[in-house]
Amino acid sequence: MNNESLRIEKFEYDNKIVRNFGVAMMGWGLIGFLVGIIIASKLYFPSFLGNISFLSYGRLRPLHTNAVIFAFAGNAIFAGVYYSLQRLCKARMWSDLFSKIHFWGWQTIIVTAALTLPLGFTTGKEYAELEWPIDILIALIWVVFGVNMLMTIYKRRERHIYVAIWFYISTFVTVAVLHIVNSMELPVSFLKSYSMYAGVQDALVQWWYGHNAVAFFLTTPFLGIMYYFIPKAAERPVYSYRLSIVHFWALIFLYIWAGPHHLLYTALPDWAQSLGTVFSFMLIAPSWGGMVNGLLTLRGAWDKVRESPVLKFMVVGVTAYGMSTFEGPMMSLKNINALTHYTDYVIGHVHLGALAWNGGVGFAMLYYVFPKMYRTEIWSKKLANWHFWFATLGILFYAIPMYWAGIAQSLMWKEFTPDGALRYPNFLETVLQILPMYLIRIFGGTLYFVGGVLGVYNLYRTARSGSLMANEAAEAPSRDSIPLIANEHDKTWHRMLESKPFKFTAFALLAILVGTIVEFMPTFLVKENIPTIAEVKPYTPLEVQGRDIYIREGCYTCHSQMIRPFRSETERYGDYSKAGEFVYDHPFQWGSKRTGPDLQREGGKYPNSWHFLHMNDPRKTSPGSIMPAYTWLYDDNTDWANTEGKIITLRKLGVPYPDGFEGSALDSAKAQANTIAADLSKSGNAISSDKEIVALIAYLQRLGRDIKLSKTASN
Amino acid sequence: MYKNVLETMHDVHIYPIISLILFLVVFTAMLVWALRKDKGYLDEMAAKPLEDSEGDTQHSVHSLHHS
Repeated sequence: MNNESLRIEKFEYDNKIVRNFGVAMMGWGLIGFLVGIIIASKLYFPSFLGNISFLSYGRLRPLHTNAVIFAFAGNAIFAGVYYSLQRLCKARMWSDLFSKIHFWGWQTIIVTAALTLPLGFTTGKEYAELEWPIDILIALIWVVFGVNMLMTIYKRRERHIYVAIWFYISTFVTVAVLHIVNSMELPVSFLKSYSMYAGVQDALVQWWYGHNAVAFFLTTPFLGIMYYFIPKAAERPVYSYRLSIVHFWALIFLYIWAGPHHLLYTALPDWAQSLGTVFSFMLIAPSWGGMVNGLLTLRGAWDKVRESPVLKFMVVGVTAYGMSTFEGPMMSLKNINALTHYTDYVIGHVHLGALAWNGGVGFAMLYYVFPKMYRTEIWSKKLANWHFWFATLGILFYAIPMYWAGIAQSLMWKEFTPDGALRYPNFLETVLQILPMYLIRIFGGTLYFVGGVLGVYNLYRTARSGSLMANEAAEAPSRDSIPLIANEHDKTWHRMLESKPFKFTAFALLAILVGTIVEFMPTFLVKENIPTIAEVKPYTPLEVQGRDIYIREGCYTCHSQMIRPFRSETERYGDYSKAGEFVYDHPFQWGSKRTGPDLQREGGKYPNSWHFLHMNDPRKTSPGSIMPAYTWLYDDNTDWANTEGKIITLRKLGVPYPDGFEGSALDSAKAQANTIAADLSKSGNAISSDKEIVALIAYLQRLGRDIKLSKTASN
Repeated sequence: MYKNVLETMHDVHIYPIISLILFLVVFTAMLVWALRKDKGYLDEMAAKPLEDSEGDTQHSVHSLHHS
């Protein structure tokens, strides 16, 4: 080949889209961190910000998680992808219009989330709380992103597809599959729907989604960003490209199986739990492969780490990635999971990931791209160092108290006296013990937030000191002058595969579908996996209404409904949970964290009047409680109008309400509400039967009753 | 029909075994393939992010001459 056959093409990289996503990442990031500090404060000062429904803990917590995952990390991903993809493909993004639709569409999704979640519109499935119209919008915008990315790869002026792009492709296909499968829901109204799955199946789908959202939204795209920006900032090639190939395929193939480790000791079939454990444990290998590859790329360049804020954040990020991906598999072992699950240990673990890994890599990327795009230097290296230290110390002050609190509380839950009784039978006692840790956590979170503010200010001043090169001129040999397959030796099947983005995408899709199908098929199709219990009956219409209030208020963010088969739990909460108890739960409400006690056998434990007083002011019945008061439930009326629609929708999903039952559903609900209101009135708590608190009490009193009644009957 | 076959299938434990075999096959195949990659290709790819620095067009042209 000679120079004459190479046609050099001139083109421009789109920097403006990178800048826009970067700015969005910073703005939403600060909001997400701030909401985090607010809800952390609410766990120490439960009356903080007063009793306002849309500022209550249960509604703000999903806002915090969604903001940090989808707004902060999401925009970071897109900024990193749009910057690196164009350069690795030596091509401008395929369509400026698609880039713009992607950007504004994604911000619209975030704004609608920020409005609907505090207003209580939620599906009640963690990290997938957004209601069905927003779910559809997410799917559409995600496809716009994917098409734009794949077409850019297709139109590239580069023979090979670098490993970072593999990670981006796997992110696109897997998140699409996860989002669509987990969001299958049947609408009742414009902003209310029920999950298509129930109970155990819903739990399996949800945690397959939840875990792989961590894998393919918070891990693979950030690994791609790491693989581009570490070599860039260190000016060194990747330590081992061979290792990157092995760890890419191993990672995406293994991750998809690991979801059930969120459901150990639950009512999920045992074989599925074991599968989750084994694959999670194996995940250490590819995860650490990635970490080692990232860190060893810095070999011989460690002096640069001292100087470069980009590399400092990268090193902390990648190291935290290594720690999190060691913790994860450890917590997937049943004996360790028995100790850490439902506790603050998990909260420490996820914040190590989000703040250090996602935040570290995200900010490193910003510190790299902003000076480049604005043709200037970082405004203040000193301030960047301050950001780094605030962030690093913030993470330590956050994570360590959470680890401590988690283990301490868990040991207290499990401690027995020599006589065989629970040492701390009152759950609240174990909460009061760890409150100082909650205070330190607020401090840690605030440090991280302040660091973020310094970082944003520094990047703002950096931008001000230069001027944006919105369209960066570049040139490369034209696509048709580059042979995609250079010679005979190049014709290995993978070389062919990786040169064709669509085939590569199909192959990556196959890798993640295998695990999905093997795991889902039996649970969905083999009846023996979900043994039904004759005594378990569908909820009454009033209980359905009460359950929807429970979901709306985000009760699942602090209360589980899943008693594990340990003596320490059956002593405290009652009989352990059975798969058959949840067959009418659309969605399931097993929860993942016990800031308060489990509620699965709550029904009948206390009289109606206790719940009435407790929900109005938890500290009246439980001195020292950190639960928020739900005063608005005493003012607002239950939305009776949708009762019929809810029954019809649930029947369509398989709940066996008799034909025509919807016609009498409202009367049934009102009759039951009158009975409860009359009982409350007898205890001196007069209230209209139309109020929401009555419906909620009906639901709480139903929890676990079917099993209890059947036991009483058989005795 | 397939649904009925599955419903009557009692030995659900076949699934973990399938998964194990699948994993071993995929992993071994991928490992063998990665180990057989030639060094020139690996080195070129490892330096790929560095190409778009100033003067990278030259670098691309250069690497093409060698292919």
